[in-house]
Amino acid sequence: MRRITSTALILGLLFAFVAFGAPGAVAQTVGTADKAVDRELVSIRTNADGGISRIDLVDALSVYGDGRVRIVDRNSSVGLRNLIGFEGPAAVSGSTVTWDLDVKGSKEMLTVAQRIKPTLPVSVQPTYFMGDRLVKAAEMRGYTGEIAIEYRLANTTRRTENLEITNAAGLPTTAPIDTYVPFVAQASFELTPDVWERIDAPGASVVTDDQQIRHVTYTAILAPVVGTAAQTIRLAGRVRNFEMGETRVVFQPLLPGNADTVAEKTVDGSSLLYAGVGTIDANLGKLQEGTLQLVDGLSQLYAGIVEARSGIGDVGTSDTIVDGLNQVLDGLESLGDSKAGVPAIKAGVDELASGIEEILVGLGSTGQPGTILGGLSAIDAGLGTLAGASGLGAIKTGIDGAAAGVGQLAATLGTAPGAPGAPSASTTLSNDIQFLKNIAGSAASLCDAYAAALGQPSCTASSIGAATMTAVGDGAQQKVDGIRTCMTTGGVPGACAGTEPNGISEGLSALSAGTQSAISSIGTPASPPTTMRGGMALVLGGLQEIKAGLKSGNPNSPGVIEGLDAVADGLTQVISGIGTVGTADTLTDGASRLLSGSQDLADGVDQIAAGTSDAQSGAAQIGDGQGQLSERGTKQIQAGIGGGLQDASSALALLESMKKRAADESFVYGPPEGAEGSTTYVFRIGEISRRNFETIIKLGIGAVMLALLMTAGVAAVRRPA
Amino acid sequence: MRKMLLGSLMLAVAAGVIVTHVETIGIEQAWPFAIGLALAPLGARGRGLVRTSMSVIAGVAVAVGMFVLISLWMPFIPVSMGIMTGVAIALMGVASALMPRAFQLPAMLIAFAVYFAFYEPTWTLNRAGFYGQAPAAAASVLIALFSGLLVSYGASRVLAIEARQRAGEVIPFRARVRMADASSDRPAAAAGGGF
Repeated sequence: MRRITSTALILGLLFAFVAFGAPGAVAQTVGTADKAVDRELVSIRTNADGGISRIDLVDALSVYGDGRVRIVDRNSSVGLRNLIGFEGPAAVSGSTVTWDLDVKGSKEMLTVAQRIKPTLPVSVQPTYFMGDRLVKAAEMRGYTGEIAIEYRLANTTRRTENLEITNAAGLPTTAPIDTYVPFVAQASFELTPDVWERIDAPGASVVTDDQQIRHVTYTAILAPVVGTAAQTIRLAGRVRNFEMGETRVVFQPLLPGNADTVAEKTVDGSSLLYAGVGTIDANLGKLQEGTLQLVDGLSQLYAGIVEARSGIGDVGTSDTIVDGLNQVLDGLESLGDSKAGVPAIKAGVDELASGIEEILVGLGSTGQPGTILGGLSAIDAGLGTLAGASGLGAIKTGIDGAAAGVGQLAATLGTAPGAPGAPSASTTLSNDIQFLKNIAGSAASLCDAYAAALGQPSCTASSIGAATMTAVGDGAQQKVDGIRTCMTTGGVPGACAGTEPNGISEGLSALSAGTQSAISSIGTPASPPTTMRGGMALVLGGLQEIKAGLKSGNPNSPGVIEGLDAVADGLTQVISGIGTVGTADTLTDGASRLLSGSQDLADGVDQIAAGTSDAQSGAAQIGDGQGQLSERGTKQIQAGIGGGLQDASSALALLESMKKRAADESFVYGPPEGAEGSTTYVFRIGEISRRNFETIIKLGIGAVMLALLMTAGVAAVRRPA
Repeated sequence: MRKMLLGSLMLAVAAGVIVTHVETIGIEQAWPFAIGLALAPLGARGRGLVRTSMSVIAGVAVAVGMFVLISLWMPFIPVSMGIMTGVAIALMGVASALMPRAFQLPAMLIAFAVYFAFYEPTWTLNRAGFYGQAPAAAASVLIALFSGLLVSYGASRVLAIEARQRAGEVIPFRARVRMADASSDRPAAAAGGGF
């Protein structure tokens, strides 16, 4: 009977295996999945002090498709177990796990790879304090009093990358930046009122449910820009008989919200702002240049105004408008003075006209004796007489006759001939003298010859007579030659006497020529004006014209008299125009007003100068202000924006890098090729409780009870009734 | 009838005390104590206590082992639980068949069931915590069951002695114990029922 029972039970056991065992593999055509989503969960078990005891990878794989589908997943091949079915992988090679799945629309796979040893991207380090004393977790068990628990959450994925950023000058560049795989950590606690009398959880969300259990949740972003790579959460309070269940800290690789979008917009905005402020600064610079030019212009204007003001001047300041106007006014007043001004001129003009009338009377006419014209006409007539035949003409005729007589006289004197002829009426005096001399010589010779012939002594007396005759003849000849030479020298200086070249004949010829020249110089009224009478004619004509110019009698062709009359009339009007101060429409009154206006102008110019000076000072201050606004304002703002732009750009580059790293590097093994997925890290920090101790106590009590029961039972067996 | 009422009164008082002080005792839930009371019928003799105690331990051990197996090596699906429950019951049946003097199937099944009911909700919520929770649950179940067993056995002994004294015997303490043991071999006569 017992064997039959045992056999039946064993068969039943086998039936159970057969009934619920894994279905046999059936050869089918294997296709590919339409889509797959792989969610990895890394479960890290630690003791209460943070020591890692075990790491499991739970892999949730969702496969979409129809029919038999093959999907190649990346997973640990060590300790791999299907948690929701008995199907095993079709093939395992290294970290590649191939599944052939029957999919009807979709199929969920949940596997666990136990005791893997990955490099964790995050870490959790709990520390415990009793009061202010750092203690081990075991010491906290059953403690009553003030405690604090801290969990240091750290992102350990730091890596330095050269990222492209926009620097503070708005230019693209690369910079080494520490990047991370971003993680969001969340730690939750359920604190029961029997243990926790009071809690202090800074930065945590605390809600209390109907059981008075306080749910404390911490959230930390373990990434730069949106958080920090390492953070510490703190839970403190007063406890009674402290114990604490398993603490779970969940890490998810993601960037919260739209931080990158915000950063991108910030960068775009900062770039625009930077450029805008740069433009403002540049325009501010131009404005400053313009202001400085304005200052220069105002300076020049001020200098011009000062110069103009100087030119306007004051009464008594020479070479100024006001002073000049004052002098003009004085001059006008002087002009208007009846004794020394224009009225006096008019009186002078009137007197001049009277004088000219008298001149006209003095000029008279050619036929009016006692007048200039009459006198000049008489002179002309006298000159005509002088030049006439009875005047200088007769003198010239006499001179010419004297000259001819001198010529004849000279010819009569003649020159000593070589062989004098016998004197006659036609022989010259020199011929005769020479003949006479020669005769005297011949008579001596003849006497001597005769005496000789006579044997007589020479004729001394004859000789003496001959010699005397010769000496007389020579002397006479010399005098004749001298006279003749003085009569006409032939143009030889010193021939007659002294140094004069002319003899009587040349003098008479010259006198004749001079007389003729004088006659010619006197000329006639029709002669050229180079002659006296020609000139006199011109003088007379000029005087006539002067006379006509002095008084034409024709108002259309006025003479001096008519002009002076007109001048007198004009002066009368000038006198009226000059007027006096207070007489309207007069120069003096206008000048007075002009002077007054100029003085007002001077005052206005002073005010303009003061205003211009103030404007110059103000413009200079504006220029300085613009410069300071540029240097301390817009440039600082731009520098600040540039710094902000660089920070924002660095943040954006970092966020993009972290986003990429979150997509590429957050996996332990990663999803199947082409599938999307994610990895979540869960730290399960061991509980702090007396359960194990109580369990041991309970088991001890149970053992005692068992011993009692066994003792009682054994005793009953040993003492049968 | 009178003994039955008296025994029931005693068990009721004990159960009331246990339920009142369940937290103090540390067994978390009181109902396994009631099951423990049922494991040893009033008036039962002490011989069965050894086998019942061994069966309770075996049943709890098999249940713990089942959860360990499922937690460590099997999928977390009802089929796994079904398979392992079947295997566990089969193993207990085989054990009771092969070792009837050591194990009795009803006690093993009761212990298995009590542990299953006691721990399965906790296990479902946190399968990963079975390393600490499963032994704690086993300890609580064992204490509860053994407490009930002991209370039930004690009540049987008190009833047996009380019956002998009412018959006019002067029974020393040691003799009373022996008498109670002897009377436990006659359950029907001693307690008017039970296994």
